[in-house]
Amino acid sequence: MKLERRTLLQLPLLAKKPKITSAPAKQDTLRTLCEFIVPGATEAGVPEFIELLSGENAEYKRQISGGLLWLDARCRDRYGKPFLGCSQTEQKELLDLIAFRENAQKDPTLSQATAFFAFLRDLTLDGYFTSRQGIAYLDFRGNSALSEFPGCPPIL
Amino acid sequence: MAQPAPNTPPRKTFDVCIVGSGAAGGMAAKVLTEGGLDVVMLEAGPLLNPGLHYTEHLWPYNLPHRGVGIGAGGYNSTASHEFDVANIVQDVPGEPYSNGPGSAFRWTRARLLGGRTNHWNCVTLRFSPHDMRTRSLSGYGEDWPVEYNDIAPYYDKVESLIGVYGSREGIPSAPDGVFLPPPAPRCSDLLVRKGAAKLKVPCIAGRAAIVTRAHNGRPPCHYCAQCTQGCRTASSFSSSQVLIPPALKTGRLQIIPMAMARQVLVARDGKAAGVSYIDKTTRTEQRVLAKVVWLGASACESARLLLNSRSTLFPNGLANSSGTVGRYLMESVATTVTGAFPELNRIPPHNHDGTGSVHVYIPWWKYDRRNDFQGGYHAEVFGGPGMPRARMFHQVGLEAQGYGAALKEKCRETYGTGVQLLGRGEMIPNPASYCEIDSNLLDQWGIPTLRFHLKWSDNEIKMAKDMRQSFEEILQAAGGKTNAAVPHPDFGHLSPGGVAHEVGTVRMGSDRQTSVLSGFCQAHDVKNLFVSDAGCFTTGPDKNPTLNILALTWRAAEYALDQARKGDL
Ligand SMILES: Cc1cc2nc3c(=O)[nH]c(=O)nc-3n(C[C@H](O)[C@H](O)[C@H](O)COP(=O)(O)OP(=O)(O)OC[C@H]3O[C@@H](n4cnc5c(N)ncnc54)[C@H](O)[C@@H]3O)c2cc1C
Repeated sequence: MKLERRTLLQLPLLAKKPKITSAPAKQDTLRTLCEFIVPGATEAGVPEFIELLSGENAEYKRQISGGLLWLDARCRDRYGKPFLGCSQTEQKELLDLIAFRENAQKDPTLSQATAFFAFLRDLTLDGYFTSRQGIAYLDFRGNSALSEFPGCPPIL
Repeated sequence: MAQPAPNTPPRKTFDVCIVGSGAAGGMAAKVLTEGGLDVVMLEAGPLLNPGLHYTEHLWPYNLPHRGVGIGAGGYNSTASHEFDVANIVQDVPGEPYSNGPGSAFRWTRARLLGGRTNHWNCVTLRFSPHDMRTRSLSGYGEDWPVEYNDIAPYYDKVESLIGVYGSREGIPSAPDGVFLPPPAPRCSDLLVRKGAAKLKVPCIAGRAAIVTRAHNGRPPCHYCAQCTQGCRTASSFSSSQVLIPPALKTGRLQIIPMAMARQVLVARDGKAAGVSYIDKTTRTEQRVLAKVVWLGASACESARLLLNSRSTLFPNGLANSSGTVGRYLMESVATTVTGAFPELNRIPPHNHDGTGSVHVYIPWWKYDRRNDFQGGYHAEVFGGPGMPRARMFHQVGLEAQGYGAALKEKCRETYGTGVQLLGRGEMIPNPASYCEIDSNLLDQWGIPTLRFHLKWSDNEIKMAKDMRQSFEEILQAAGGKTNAAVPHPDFGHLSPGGVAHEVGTVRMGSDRQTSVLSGFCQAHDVKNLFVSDAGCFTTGPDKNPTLNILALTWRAAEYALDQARKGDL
């Protein structure tokens, strides 16, 4: 799908925090997944970022909603309850299946879910490392105004 | 600079009508108004409002989309993302272009006062004497109708005016200029310098149009590395902030924003008489009259305007008796090699930003030996721990797989360890590389659009291969790990247009049968018509175009003033 890139003029620059609009169970599942992928992601607003994009982009929405439903269906088959109803051990057991490319190579029935997880991992990394918390975690020291640039500290 | 857009254009006849306000248009406006001429400037975009158009010092989390745009539209597409200066994109809404079979040219265009100079990386390199005479000295390409010595005084003047940092080195392929002190090297720069030194490859102070000292009323750089986001202090050069203000101060420049030139008007005597344009605000056709028409709409836009200016006198388009308008489209041969340096992650965290341009660079160094290709290239050095951005960690995710604390830690370990050598090389002019009017496609203003046929020759492919090999050697000599896998059969060429160095298409030359302009950017066929953007380039040396546009424009504008005084236009 091709989306027209709007110019900044049309963007709600510095707009208020986006709100999650999808069904509550779906929200909770997404939150749980993001938190699994990067501990601290929820606090950093990652689920809201992902919901915002998938609300605007049909392709993203298909991948995310589809992936979440696949997860629930698989959990019901395996454990008799949806993802959120499973214990943490069960949840991890399932994620360990779909979080690694080589599993899908062994078991082709996992390949679509592995692609979904990789997509969600990319988005979670994007959301986390562009957040205040993620940038602090990386210890990035720039984006300021200096009167002189000191260059490389005398260590190299 | 507030000036309301007039719905009806001024009735008078101006001395000069300039189309475009980037490097070429801005420089022409400054020299011509200061020389006493009355100038009207048509600009297809709005006046610059830095508060609205510039994004300097934003954090990604200040934007709800974190920089990737609505629906991630600036993320997967070729469009630049939210951190770029507004209105500088490949997909200008309602203004498409197309590519012929096998051509994948990408065209970054500005629609904003100051053009792409609001957003450029400021790398500022003079052509060498050899660059302008490759045909007679080395048997390839073309000779320009001007020589280095003709434009050297204008390089001096431009550099003194706009402020360029650098160091004097005496390297034949990279003539020295008038320089401000260069910034201290970043850690990543020191690594590359170490590797280059081992191989006896020169790695010298970068050259960029960013003022490191207060200069002509502009405060020095504050080292945020965000020139491409627009510099609110005007410490990096832009036409809108450095050239247009003095032109306005003369009281002889009138800017008409949101004015998309459609056609150059021609009088019965075959001379240019003015320009017709679409007022984008009211969607109406307007015209301004002028004694001289000056095109600075950017390389291919100026060719488009000429090709669209057909008349009974000029059935193939204006100033096109040679048939070369649109021909000899060139773009920098570009490829990037990244080296991984884990030690960059182990040094104490510090502000690594620096200017938004190169602090060191590698000028062309193999000019004294036989290579299996013609022409030269240079390498720009970037990298190290910069502003975290979307997409930065996808590769880590791909390689590490999994999730959780380990993945998060892996990202931190990898952050800032990449150092890039960006190659920029010479493309030799060839007639099979061109743009023409697309017979099927109008833009939303009713103006026929361009169709590109950009073709690399074997020489460019061989050059890109050599770039990759030598960059890998340099990075490895510096202790970096490079990824040996070559991403494309053409050695990782960016698809052409990716670096926005398109030149040629309205070239200058001494033979009017095979060129459009004289060495003074004056049309052979129409003496009161000038084109001084990179369209006028005879060849496409490795040097980034902007300084050369500025110097050629200044020289042409002085010539035009002189001719006007003599009544010869
Ligand atoms: C990301 C990026 C980095 C770059 N880095 C460097 C660098 O480091 N060094 C370097 O030398 N160069 C660099 N460049 C290239 C540099 O920006 C251009 O060479 C330079 O801006 C060209 O100047 P110009 O006047 O020819 O055209 P532009 O700057 O493109 O200006 C043309 C103006 O004309 C207007 N216009 C076009 N058509 C019409 C029309 N029909 N009617 C009215 N107005 C019209 C446009 O709206 C625009 O404002 C970079 C470019 C990009 C995008």
